[in-house]
Amino acid sequence: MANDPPILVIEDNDVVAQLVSAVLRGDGVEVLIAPNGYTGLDLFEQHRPRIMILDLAISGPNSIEVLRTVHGSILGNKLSVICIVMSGEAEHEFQARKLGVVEFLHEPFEPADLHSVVQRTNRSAA
Amino acid sequence: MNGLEILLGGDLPRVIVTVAFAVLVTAAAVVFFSITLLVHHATGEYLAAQRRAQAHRAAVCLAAAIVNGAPGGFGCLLNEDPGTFFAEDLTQTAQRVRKLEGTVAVSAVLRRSRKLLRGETARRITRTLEDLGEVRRLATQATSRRKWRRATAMRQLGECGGDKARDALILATHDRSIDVRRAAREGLLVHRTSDAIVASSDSFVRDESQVLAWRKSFLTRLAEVDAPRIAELIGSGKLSDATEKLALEAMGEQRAVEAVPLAVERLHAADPEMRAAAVRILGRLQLLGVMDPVTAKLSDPSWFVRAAAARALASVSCDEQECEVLKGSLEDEAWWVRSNAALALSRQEESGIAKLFEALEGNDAYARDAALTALTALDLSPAEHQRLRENVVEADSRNFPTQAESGLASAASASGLG
Repeated sequence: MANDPPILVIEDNDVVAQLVSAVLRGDGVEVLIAPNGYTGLDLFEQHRPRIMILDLAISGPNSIEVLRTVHGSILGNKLSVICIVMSGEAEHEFQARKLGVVEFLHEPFEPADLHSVVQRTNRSAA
Repeated sequence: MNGLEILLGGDLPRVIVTVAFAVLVTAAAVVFFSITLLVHHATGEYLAAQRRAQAHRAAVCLAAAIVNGAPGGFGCLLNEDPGTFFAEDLTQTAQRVRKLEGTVAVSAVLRRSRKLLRGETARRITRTLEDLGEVRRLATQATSRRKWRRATAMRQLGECGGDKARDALILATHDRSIDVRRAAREGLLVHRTSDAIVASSDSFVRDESQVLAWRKSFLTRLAEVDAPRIAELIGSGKLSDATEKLALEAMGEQRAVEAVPLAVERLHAADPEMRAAAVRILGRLQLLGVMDPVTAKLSDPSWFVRAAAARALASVSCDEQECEVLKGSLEDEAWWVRSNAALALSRQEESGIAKLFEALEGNDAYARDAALTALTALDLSPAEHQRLRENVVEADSRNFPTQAESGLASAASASGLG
């Protein structure tokens, strides 16, 4: 996986971002961390990742606005999104499904779950 | 002696000196307090920034050790390559990081990680929190005389996981303070094990007569963690009617399918609010198989049940028969029902739009108003747009009175004003 494009992680909780990043770096993947939606959209434009891991609980702009923006862009159809669902995010999960997101990681999860969902997404994107 | 000197008893210079002194002292006090406030604020900001930085460094250093197990990543602490690993377990790494970044930062990182992760990784974090003495510290804090300290300990104990934390939390569900009992229930839900959830919900049933917002937030949280447990509570008949409605709505908000049979059963409840709640839940779940009884609720005696049914049908795909029933609701006596029925029809592609045009060309003024409002909000084709324009112009020339205008006119004529 060393030559794979970077994975963009949009997560406003530092601990969660570092844990997700540590799992992915363990696989030799380059990880870009964005602490909010605006930075996430900037990094998306600059680095054109093929996979984005998005926490549905982020604010300003919220995760659904981020999803709408990336899907509306010309690069959006090449992007696969994995959503991290924290407690109480059922409504956002429902809206994300409507926007075409198929991969969800529900809190709590095991590091192995993240490995497998990223591998599955990589295979389907290839 | 002038008038002022007479008034002050002939001692003007002393009064002037006293007033000047008082002004000076006040000014000095104001300056002193301003500087103190400024220093306090700056120190607070500085300490907060330092705490954030410590927490960040602790997260960076512990993350690799948490997710990869032993050996842990410790290279970042020695300004080496973060990929440098040492053969030590998570507890040893956490102890080293604690020396540099402090107990608060390390504990917070471990507890948040424990909340995010499950399985063997979560168990390892729990063991580390126990080895570091964090669980013992919080359990001691749980016996503090100050209730806010006890409540804080409860919330943090839930994040630690493990049997020791669970036992302390269960004990605290009998605390003398309602705030601490509530925090203990929340902690048990974060703990997530089945016996913790049962203990939490049992405590909720014992304490049911609390603030409505608290009941709602607990039930929402319980629905997130274990929706079948809420179904059990509703089935047990231990909840009051008002709480049962909240519990059902909490399941609906989580789109828990366990709510379906309970909601279908409550479509025939005597309380119209319960019927409306049941309709809303079925609409939210959007399961096509259960929408027939919802359609039947368009003829419920209570207008807000009918309005809820029409709104629920706006979120699903309706067949021709259901569209026909919705078209009938455009003539409902309640404007909210008419408005929701029009909205539901506008979401039904061609068949719904056709029904809205039929209503627009009919003679019922209320149905026309509702159809017109819904149609103008749609992105219509040029032909449909033209048809809409013609209908509006025609309606203008026919000068349809609304029922309200008709009522006013008849009232005016009855009173001899017309």
